[in-house]
Amino acid sequence: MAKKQVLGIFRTADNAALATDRLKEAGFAGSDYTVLTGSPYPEGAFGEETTKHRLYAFPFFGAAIGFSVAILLTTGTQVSYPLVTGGKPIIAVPAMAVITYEGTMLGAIIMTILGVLFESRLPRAVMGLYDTRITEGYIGIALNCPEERLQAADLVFRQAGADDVKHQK
Amino acid sequence: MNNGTHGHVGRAGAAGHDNGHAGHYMPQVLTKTPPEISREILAATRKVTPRYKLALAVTGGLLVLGIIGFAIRLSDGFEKFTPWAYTMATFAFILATAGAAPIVSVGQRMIRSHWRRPLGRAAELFAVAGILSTLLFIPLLLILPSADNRRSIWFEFPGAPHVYQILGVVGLAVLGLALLWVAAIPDLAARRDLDQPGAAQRWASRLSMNFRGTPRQWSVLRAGLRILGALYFMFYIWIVTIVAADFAHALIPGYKDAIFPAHQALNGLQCGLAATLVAAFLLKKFGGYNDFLTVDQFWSASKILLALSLLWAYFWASAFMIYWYGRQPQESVILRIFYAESYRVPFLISFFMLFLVPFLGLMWNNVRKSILGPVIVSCSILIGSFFDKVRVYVAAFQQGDVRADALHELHPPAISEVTPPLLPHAPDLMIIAGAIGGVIFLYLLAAKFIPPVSIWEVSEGTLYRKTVKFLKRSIMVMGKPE
Repeated sequence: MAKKQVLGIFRTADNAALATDRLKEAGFAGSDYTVLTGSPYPEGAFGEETTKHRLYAFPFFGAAIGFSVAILLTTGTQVSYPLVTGGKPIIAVPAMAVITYEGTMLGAIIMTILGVLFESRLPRAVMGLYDTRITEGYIGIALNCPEERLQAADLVFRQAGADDVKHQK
Repeated sequence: MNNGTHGHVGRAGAAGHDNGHAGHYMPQVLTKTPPEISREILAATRKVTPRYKLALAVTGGLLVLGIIGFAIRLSDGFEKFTPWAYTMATFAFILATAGAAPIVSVGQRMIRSHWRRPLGRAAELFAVAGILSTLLFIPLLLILPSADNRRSIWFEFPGAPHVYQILGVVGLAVLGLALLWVAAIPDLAARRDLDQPGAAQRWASRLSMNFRGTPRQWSVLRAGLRILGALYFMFYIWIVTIVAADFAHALIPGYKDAIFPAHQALNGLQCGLAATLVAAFLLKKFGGYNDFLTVDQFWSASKILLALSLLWAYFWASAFMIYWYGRQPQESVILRIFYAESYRVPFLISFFMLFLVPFLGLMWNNVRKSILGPVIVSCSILIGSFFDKVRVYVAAFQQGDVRADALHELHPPAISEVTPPLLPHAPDLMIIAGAIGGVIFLYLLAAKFIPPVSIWEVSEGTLYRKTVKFLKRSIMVMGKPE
């Protein structure tokens, strides 16, 4: 069943919150729509579904890679050129700590930057249905809607007080 | 709370910035609506005044002067430390100020303070100086001998210290720019949507990458800023440590000071905040952001500045007393070089401006609760810090030549000769002026592309704060969603 996007533009957050209630009453699932705002609102402020992301895993993954590479480098160096210094063990942790810290940090940094892009789903190839008034403080509700329900969605938005309703062409 | 879209325009609380009813301080709550915030900040960002052009021309001229000085210095080669001593001090100063400034935003964002909202971007914009400091660092790295057969923190690992030093400095610059970019994505999206078509709008559109402001994007953006911020803090401390260790500590045989790198890092935090306050003052005064940067930001930041200045003195005293009471022969020589004889003047200036002026100034509530007070103290800290870097790094680079033997021995004899102070020559002065001018030049350019007051964070702040009547005065009510 083909789906199209409908975007409701609301001047006030109260009306946008009302619209999400009306969408649910009209039988639309929480996963069918997303709220677009120009500044962040507290999670769940519009009754939308909680978003889950795995960004916190990225720095740990990167740190693990960086740590492993640094350990391999420092251990390999010491084993390849075994020089006993001051009676200390060949593989000496204090000596390795300096480079290991840097390797761990660099791995975590690179993966976090990539993680922010991946988890934000950026860059987006196409903008999709959007309205520049959202940047100015209006609230947008983008709904993925089956074609036969487009009129119903339009009505829900307008009854909730939408300033404007846009349809995907 | 404000419903986030349309409210009253102006300011609550005596409609002013300082005193309200019967001289009491009234809360500063921005009651502009998000459309007004977007429009006013973007208008100020786009506006190019004659004063801005003049500042750009002057700092650009200084940058060119610095490049000429740098070219002159290149003719001295990289065999000796002394010709590059003032370049090193300048690099250390930029690392301490522009390098540390983003931490002001990072730290406050992590503890979820609200007063920092208009101030954070002014701090993050200093990340653009990472480009300049990386370029400045390259010749300094070329002078440094390898870590083979000498005392250093690197234990003779292959490539040390050069590979790890450059990876660190480049990594910090990239991380700073990433932090700035991620924090600015929603504001770049605002430029994409609200600017007239042109080069800036096109670039803003590219860099905002079709950001739409979905709950997922906001959630990831905030989490990403917290993680990148934590990493920046951890990495900055690390970079200051290895720079201080390799470019000062390791060049002076017999110099033992366990808290020296920590002291340098602390000074960085002090300077980063000071640089941010000076930038915020200039943005308020000349940039068109008067309504967004109020006494709240300066007052709140000044308390941290006072604490950091007291900590600076504590760290200094902790290090100094070891030498003062130890008085081993090399300790006496170090005291005479760094404090009492050779670099007495830079030491006295730095002690006066990094501790006495901040302490005696910011101990008064009237000074803290003002805009000019913290800014004057911040200027003092920046000047004091520059002289402190001269004292530490110029003296250390001198020893790099005087005691060149110590760079090729594992157990060199300790320092024993008190050297006269090394004064700057014309190329050094050109490099100092050029590097500092270059940082300001890059900042000015960046501030015309990325709004120096964060639109989305200021708009978000209006959702959670408002003033209400409480008996015979107004008080601020603040909501905390997390």
